[in-house]
Amino acid sequence: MANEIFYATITELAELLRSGKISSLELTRAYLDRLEKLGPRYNALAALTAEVALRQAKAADDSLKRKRFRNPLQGVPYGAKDLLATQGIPTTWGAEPYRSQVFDYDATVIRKLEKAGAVLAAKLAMVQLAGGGGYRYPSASMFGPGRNPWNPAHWSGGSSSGPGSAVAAALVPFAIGSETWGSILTPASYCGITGLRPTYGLVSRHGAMALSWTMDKIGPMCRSAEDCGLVLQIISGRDSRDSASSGKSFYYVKEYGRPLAELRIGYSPIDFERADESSRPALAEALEVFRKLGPKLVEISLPPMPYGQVAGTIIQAEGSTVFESLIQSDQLDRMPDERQKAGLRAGLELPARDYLRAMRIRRLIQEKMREVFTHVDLVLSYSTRGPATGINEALDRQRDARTMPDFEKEKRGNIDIGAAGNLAGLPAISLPCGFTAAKLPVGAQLVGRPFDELALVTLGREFQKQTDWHRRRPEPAGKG
Amino acid sequence: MTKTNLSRRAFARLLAASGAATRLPAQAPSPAEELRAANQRRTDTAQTLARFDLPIAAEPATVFRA
Repeated sequence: MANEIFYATITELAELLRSGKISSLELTRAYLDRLEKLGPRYNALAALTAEVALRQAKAADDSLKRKRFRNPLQGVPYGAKDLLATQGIPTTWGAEPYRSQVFDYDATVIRKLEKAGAVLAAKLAMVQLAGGGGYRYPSASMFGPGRNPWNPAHWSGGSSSGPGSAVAAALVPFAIGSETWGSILTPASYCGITGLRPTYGLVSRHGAMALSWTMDKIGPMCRSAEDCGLVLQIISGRDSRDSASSGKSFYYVKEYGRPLAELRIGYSPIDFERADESSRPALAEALEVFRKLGPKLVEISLPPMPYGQVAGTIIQAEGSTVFESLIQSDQLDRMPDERQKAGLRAGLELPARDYLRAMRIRRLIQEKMREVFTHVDLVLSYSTRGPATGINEALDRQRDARTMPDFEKEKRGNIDIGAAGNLAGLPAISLPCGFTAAKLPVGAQLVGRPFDELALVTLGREFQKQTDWHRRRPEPAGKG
Repeated sequence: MTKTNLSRRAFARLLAASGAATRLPAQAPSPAEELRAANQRRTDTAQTLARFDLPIAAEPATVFRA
């Protein structure tokens, strides 16, 4: 099969499938082959789901032959982060103690995708326990460190490491990842793909490993903003099995997007100054592209609040409680990364009053964010401060700076939008916006109001009409 | 090899001349040290949040969206 097809968008694949130029079975076999050959190079693969994939591909072909077109995902293969339950197939959570864990049901997201006709080709690797406890090295995974297809000596980002690298290397057309704080946007940025973190409660968490009940979101990681919109339309919606389900759905109707000239994008020059020097040219260029697209650019800064400390406290308390029985067992020592294990243990010592204090400040942060979005429709910043880090580089110093900033003294612009956005359950999209001199991708993030994913997707689509960063392709690992 | 009393600087010069690393290998923290450090981070964070001026009437978030 010609290489071109692996880099096609969902819309392009749908056209090929509907016209009969290719069958889902052919497409699925080609992707399975590619996953098997290249997945291990990036430590992207948790498991090939060939049996399920071929069954689903045949079912999709039956519908397509009868011209029963339902949606663009029919017959299109995808990968799922290995924290999503898949009936009868191991769901490891990236962690050795759960290597043989098998659920007898599918996560809601998996069921919705099957019903839509999408084809589950693989479970994808992740950082163990989605990073709960705070890991030091990219190797904090039973699958090894996620390797970046742009440069395998660099990290793919986490905790959705497999989805990031699998989409970038065109091993799957799209993937489902998750984010508590950074786990979709970081790998999307590092791997040069488009990742969408939905509003909290828009996509059901039923069947997904919990790290933080009040902050976990499931979202698409794709080759384009439009693809993210198409996938989100399928996976969003009410689910009585998720107590946090908002009951709302997302409909990707381009005509309902607001005219770009009516949008106000908030940004701060401080973010662009604080970004890693290597990322600044790409970010500056992205700002100019957004300016030329028509929205009004407004300088704003988040009010000084302890965003990182609040997010860190809540995730530590909830995450350690989720994994209490693991932490108190001897199974925890089967996992690598001593810092992560210590963080999980320390989380069980966190007093209730500290957690409640953080939750009280969180309510104030939510009020402040509502206020911010009376002045702007979107906030623009970098997705990650710099490009992908080295595969052996310690991550905790950077993370400690994130959770322990001196919010009282420093001028921080909007660099805390990651923590603030996740605490307030806001949606965000990471768009590839260029490369560093060392040819590592750079990502820009847009954050929107609750349930305004349409603004993110439509502005992202327009950005991607003016740029071609999302179309660039890494060299296969081992070549050159 | 004959045991000699080498100063640390002399030893470092010897290692450099042999092409070996001049730094002695760093000791990874023990699990107990990691746990102490993790608890220290936890209490440092709690102290930072304790300094935040929180109105007495402020209630915890119960809806996890803005």
